[in-house]
Amino acid sequence: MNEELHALAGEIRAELHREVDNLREELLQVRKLVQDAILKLTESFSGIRDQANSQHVLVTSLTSSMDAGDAVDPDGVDAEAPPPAPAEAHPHGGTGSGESQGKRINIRQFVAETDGILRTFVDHIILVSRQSMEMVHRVDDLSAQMQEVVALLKDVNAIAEQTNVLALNARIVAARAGQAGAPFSVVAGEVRKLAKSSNQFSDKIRGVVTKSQQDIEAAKGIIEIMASKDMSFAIESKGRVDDMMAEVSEIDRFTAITLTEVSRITDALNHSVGVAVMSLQFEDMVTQLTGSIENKLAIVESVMDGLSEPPSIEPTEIIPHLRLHLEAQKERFDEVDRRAVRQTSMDEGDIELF
Amino acid sequence: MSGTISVNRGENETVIGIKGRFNFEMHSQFRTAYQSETGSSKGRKFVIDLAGTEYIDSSALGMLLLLREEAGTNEAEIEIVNARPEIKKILETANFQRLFKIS
Amino acid sequence: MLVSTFTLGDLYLGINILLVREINRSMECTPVPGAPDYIRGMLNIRGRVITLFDLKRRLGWSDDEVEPGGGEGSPAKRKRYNVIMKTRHEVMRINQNLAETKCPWEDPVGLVVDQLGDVRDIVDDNILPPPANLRRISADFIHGVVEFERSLLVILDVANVLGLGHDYAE
Repeated sequence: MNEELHALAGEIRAELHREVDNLREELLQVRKLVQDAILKLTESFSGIRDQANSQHVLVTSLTSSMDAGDAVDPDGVDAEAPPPAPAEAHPHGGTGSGESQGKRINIRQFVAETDGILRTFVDHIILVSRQSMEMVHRVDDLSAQMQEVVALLKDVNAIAEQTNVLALNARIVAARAGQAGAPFSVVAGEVRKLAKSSNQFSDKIRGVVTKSQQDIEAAKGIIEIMASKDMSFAIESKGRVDDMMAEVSEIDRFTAITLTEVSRITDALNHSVGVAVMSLQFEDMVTQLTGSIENKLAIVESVMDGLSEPPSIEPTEIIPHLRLHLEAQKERFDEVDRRAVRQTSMDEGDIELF
Repeated sequence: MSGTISVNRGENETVIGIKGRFNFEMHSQFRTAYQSETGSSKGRKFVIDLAGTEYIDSSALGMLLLLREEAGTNEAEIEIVNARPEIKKILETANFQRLFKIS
Repeated sequence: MLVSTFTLGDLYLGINILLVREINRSMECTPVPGAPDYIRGMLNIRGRVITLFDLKRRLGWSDDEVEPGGGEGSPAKRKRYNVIMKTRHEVMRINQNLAETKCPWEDPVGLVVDQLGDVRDIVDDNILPPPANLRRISADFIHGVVEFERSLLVILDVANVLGLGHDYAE
């Protein structure tokens, strides 16, 4: 009977050992599966975080390239930001892309320079007008002097006419003297010719003066075109430049807001990824829990082994012996449980993110 | 079509009022308006009244600059008054507030 | 014969220079009330009172022809000349024959003309009788005509112009 019991116990023990071994095997598989899953998840989260960071860098570099040299990038990524690789798009246009990288177009600067050019342009127009008006004054003076010349020519004509009448009267007087007056008549005739050429001369001068007056009027016409510029263009252009300035400021403001938002989103994403990665560190716990299970299995085995002690012990001894054995194994269980409990709570601060 | 000029000579100041279009065609009248003064009176004050001025072009700006130079007066003694908003804007675009008192 | 020439509108006129005393710029004269319209007025030159004949009106020209341009230039401004004639007495001292045949007027007279011309020496043989087609001047007033390259010089019969021809001849 006793031996029979022993044999049965041996069979049960063998069967239990096999089952415990299977459990160990499955525990190992669970641990491996969890490990693999955690590895892959961690890699994925790292990838997400890297891509979020790249995205942030790209957005920052994009806005800073629109506004280069003006504002210092708050995240300092401007300098390290990879150029948006225009060289790839133009493999042969090396010089062009090099320049555009070295001197990026800045809208604010562009508008400011446009404003400056407009101002210079307006100043120039006014300077030309001022000089033109001064020229007109000189030309008017010249014209007035020409009028004086014409007035003087009238006096010359009057003198010539008087001379003419005088010469004619001289010839009348000479005619009365008959032959004796002939030489005097010749002189009078010459005087009359002089008066006539004087008249022709002043007629020519008058012709020249008239032509000059016409030229002066034509010159005034040209000066008028030079001097007279409608200024409304300047007002309109100035208004447009001011509008552009306001728009640029609005774009700047919007860009700053967007950039801040992108930074915030990236930070939040990083944090979430960190939390996720940290959460994945339950691998240790799984390992410890499975370890604990293994330990317990070992205890279960030893309990079983104790139950099937060789029958050297007296039957009366068996009960206390087993009780003693059970007590010892209970203590080992408790010990294993205590160690396991310490690992169930995770302190976030201790998690090292990778 | 051009404007008309009125001249009002006070004891120490000359008020030149311009009605209508202040453009090139006004140059002779405008010059006469201030030239009869400049010889006799140094430090005389000029007031350019643009209340009735409807339009102003660059030649008028040139004339104002010439008045300033030929009258030999500094900015405190030439005052541009009563300009309507669009004309005031032109004067400001031309930076005239640096050279004249605009009010 | 020396002829003093002048113009009257588009007419080219001449007067024997021996009959001319002097030529002056036209000046203000005193109108004579009741006188014919061709008497422009009386003129005092150096104490001598001269009767001025408006030659154009004497030739019977219309108002438009007398003042061409329709009053645009005022008469005072328009340049005119007075041809003052010698008196019969004065001519007599130079050329008795001329005075007796051509100079019946005893009082100083003058003719108002437009522009002054030159003094021309005319050979008597070249003086022709007035052509029939001559307009704007009656043949009665003409002593004769001389043809030049471009124009016809009309030599006036001053006695007839002054209206003294017939009285004198008879």
